[in-house]
Amino acid sequence: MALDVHLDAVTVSFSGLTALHEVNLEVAAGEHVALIGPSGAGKTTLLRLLNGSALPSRGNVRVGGRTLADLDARSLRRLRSQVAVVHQDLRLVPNLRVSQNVLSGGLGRQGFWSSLRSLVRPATRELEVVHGILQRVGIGEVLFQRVDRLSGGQRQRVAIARALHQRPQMLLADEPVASVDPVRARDVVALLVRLAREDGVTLVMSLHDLELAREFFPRVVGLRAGEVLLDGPPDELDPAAVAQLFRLPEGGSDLVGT
Amino acid sequence: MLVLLLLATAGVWAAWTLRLDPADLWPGGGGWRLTVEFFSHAWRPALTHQAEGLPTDTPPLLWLAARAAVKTVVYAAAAMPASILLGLLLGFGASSAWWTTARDRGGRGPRSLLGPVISAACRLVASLLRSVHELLWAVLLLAALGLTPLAAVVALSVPYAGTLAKVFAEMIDEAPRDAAGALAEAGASPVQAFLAGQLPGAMPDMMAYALYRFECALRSAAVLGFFGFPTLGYHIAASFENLYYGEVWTYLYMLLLLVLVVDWWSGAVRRRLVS
Repeated sequence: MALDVHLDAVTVSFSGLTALHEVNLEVAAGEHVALIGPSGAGKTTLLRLLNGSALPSRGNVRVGGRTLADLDARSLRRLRSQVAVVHQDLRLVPNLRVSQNVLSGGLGRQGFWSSLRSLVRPATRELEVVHGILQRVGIGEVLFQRVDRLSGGQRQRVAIARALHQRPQMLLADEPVASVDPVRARDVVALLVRLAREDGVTLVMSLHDLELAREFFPRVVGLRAGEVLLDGPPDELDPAAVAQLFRLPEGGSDLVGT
Repeated sequence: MLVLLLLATAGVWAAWTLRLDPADLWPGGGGWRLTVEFFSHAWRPALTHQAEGLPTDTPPLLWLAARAAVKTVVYAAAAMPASILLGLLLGFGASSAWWTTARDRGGRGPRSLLGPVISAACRLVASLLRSVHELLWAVLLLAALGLTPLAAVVALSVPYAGTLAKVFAEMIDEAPRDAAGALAEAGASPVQAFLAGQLPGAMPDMMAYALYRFECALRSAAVLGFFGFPTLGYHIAASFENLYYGEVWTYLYMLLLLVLVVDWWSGAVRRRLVS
């Protein structure tokens, strides 16, 4: 199962600033899409639209056929439990064990008492599931370690494991490698793409680095100043449009090379 | 800066109103001699009863002191569970983290008013509980219940619950909110996100603070002895009235020992929690 996305003339503005302007975008169920563009282009806002964390000022956002603005609180929670987000800053609880952090990804499908029990004293079966997920992301050995004792790379994999434990139908990653060195960045992008493919879920990832997008994604969407500037397979992208994507507004020199 | 200046001005004004005179720190002959005598016993606390002609079956002084110390710990320990429980409940309620997380994630409608109202109510109750000092609670409860251990335990737990609630609420709100936000984003309910993402971050500080309050409860329980409860304060008052300053110091050192032990213990617990 995977979710599809349909953005219909979506404009998002808050306090007078327009983050996205008249954006149309279709993402098919199970498709992998890289969002690229300079800082402030609207990549994060677009991702926030996809799990209802932001609502459009105008236009329509549909995820899995449901219009997000029309959902009541309960339905929105259900939808969010189907959409996992990996943030650049991870957002883990540092003084809890890896197992507890990963288990908390499953809260959305648990009732109150069962979630409380699994946080305090997880069942062996639950721990086996978590261990399996940790092995998938390559850190099976840290199950019972505290997150604040792990390296940066291990922590990032814990955040990914928590997202997987959500059993999502769509995976969103907001600049997952922005604060990671280039070699590890490539590994992390490769891992997320592999996991999304294995589970057959939709993947939308925002990236600074066009090269990573080219290497791992069949489709690249370029955003600039809140508008979609280019959209297509990486080897069919118009070089002029790519150059324009990263050019400074006043016609200054390139900020980010391609 | 302005605040400090205002405080200093208010301080000088208050001192003038009270007619404070530094010369009074050196009282006339008798008072000064008494002070010197009292403090001179600090170096030689009594090891045996200073009173003479006591009945032969009177327990040794150190035995009495040890028993009073144990009683003090028991009173403080009996007061803490109730105050921690009530402090946790009120502290959760008074914190804003559990409802602002939900609101920031798009919670709307009349139910979103519930959070601020509950929060303000809990804060008010906590203030009321702690605005009356434990000694005043003791006076009230002594009148109501008589000299039963329950009066002392309730007198300690009520204001302590108020203080714990206030500090717990602040610690919860100061803990990082990003994890709770991420869990709410992943479909967790506000309460689930609070319990799994917000509370754990505040837990080490809260436990250390609860232990510190236990240390405070020891001192308060000792002082409650002045009302007749069999804690260290009872013996301190009795020895003081009889001018047995050596005995007073014996009991004071016993109290110091208790506080030091709890201090060491809470330090050990804290180190284990944060490292």
